[in-house]
Amino acid sequence: MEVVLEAVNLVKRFGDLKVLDGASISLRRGEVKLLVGPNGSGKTTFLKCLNLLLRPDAGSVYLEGVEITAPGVDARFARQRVALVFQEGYLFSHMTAFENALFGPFKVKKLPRSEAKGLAAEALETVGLDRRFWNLYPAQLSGGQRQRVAIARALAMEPAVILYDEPTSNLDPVGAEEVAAVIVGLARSGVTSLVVSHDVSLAADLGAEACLMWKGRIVLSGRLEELPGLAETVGDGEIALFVRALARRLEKAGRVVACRQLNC
Amino acid sequence: MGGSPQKVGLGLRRLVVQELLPYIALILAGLQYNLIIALSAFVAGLAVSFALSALSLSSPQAAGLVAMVSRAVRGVPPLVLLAATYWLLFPALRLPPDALLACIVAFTIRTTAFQVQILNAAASSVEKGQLEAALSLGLSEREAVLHVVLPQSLRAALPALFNELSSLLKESTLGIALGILDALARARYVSIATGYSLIWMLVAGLLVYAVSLVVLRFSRILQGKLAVPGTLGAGVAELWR
Repeated sequence: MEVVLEAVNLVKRFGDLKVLDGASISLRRGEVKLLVGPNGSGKTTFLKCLNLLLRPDAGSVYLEGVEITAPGVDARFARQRVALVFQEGYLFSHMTAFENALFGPFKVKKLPRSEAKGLAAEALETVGLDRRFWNLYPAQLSGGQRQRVAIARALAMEPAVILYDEPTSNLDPVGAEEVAAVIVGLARSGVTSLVVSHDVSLAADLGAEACLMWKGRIVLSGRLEELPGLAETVGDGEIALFVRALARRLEKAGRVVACRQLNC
Repeated sequence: MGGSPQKVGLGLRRLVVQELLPYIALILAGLQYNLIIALSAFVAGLAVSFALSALSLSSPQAAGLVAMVSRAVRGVPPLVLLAATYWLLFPALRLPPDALLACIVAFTIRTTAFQVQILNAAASSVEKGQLEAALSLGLSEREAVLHVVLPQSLRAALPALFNELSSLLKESTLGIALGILDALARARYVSIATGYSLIWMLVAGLLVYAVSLVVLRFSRILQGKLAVPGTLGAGVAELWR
C-alpha cells in the first residue's frame, strides 16, 4: 500500500531542550498506529510537527509523496490534509456543534455553503452525535460528545490522515468508551490514523502496531503484546520498566496475556 | 392678592412654556456635541484598537510598544490631551483649528489607549488551544484571529467597552475648554442668565445621565443577544434554569 505520511529523522528544539531527536514514522494508506511513551517524551510535539503546526528544526515530512517540510511549501496545505485532534478537544466555544463541524469545509476550504453543510452533517453522523445535539454549544455538551464533535470537525476536512493526541484521557469512562468506539470504527473503515494514547482498552481495541517514543525518538515498534519482549532486547532498563508497566495495565484490563507468556 | 387656582395654573404654564422650555431646548441642542464627540471617538477608537489588538496578538514586540504607548496616554489628564491636540498637534500637522475635530481626535487617542487594553485583556481569556485548533485546520493566523479569537474576545470585552462609551459621554463635557457649546457649557450660560445655577446643572446632568442609561441598556441587550448558551455570559440565572 502507498505510504500516506512519512516522517524522517525529525528534530525539534525548544531553546536548549531537544524535544525531538531524530523521530521517524511511516503510515501506509488505511494503516493505524499507536504511539506510546512517557510524559515529556515528545509525543505531542511529534504530532504537531507532522501537522506542521510546529516546524521541525531538521528532518523531513512527506505527505502522499510530497515533502511538505521543503521550503516554499505552504504549511496551510499540509494542515488541511493532516488532521489533529487535541486532548482537550478545543472546540470553538462560540459556535454550535454543527458550526464547529462546518468550520473546516466552509471557512478553511471555502467550499460552497450547501456542500460544506453536507460534509459537516456527514461527519457528525459518522461520529454518532444525535441530531438533537447539533445546535447546542460546547458548554452544553458532555465531554464525550465534545470530543466526538472535535473528531467530526477533523473528519469534515476529508483529511488524508488523522492524528489523535490522547483523545480519551480527559474523559470519564462512559465518554472514553464513546470516543474510543468512534476512533476504532473510523480506523476499521480505513481512515489512516496515528493515535497517541495510554488508554489500554482503546489501545487493545485498535489492535494496531505500537510505537514507543523515548526521549524524542521512536525506539521500538511492534504489536502491543510483543513490546515487552522487544523492550528486553534494547538493553535500556528504564525502557523495559515503562513497557512492563504498560503491559501490566493491559493485563489487568484482561486484554493481553502474551506478557506473562514472555516472562516479563 | 391671591389669584384663583386657575390663574396660578396658567402662570405656571406660562413660566414653563415661555421661560424654562427655551432654556431646556438650548441645553438639549448642546447635547448633540456630547453625542458627536463621544460616538465618533468611540467608533474610531474601536477601529484603531481592533487593528492594534490584532497586531499585539501577532507580535510580542508590537504588543510591548502598544502597551507602553497606551500606558503613557492613559496617564495624561484629558484636559491636557485636549489642549495638546488643539494647540500642538493640529498646528504641527497644518490642520485647521477646528475645535470639534480636535475634541474628537483627542478623545479618540484617549479612548484607544483604554480600548486596546480592554481588547487585549479579553483576548487573553480565549484558550490558546482554540487558536491552535483553528491553525491546525489550515487557517492563516489572520483568519484564525478573525474567526476564532476576536468574536470571543469581543463578547468578553463588551461590558467594559460600553462603560468606556459611557465615560466618554461624560468626559466629552470637557470640550468647553476649547469653546464647544455642549450641554454642560450651555447650562453654565443659562445659570448666569437666570441666576439659578444648581437647577440648570441638574438639567444638563440629567440629560447626559439619560443618554448614558440608553447606552448601558443597549449594552445589556447586546450582551444577552451575543451570549453563548451554557456559559455564564448568558447570565447567572441560566445556572438554575
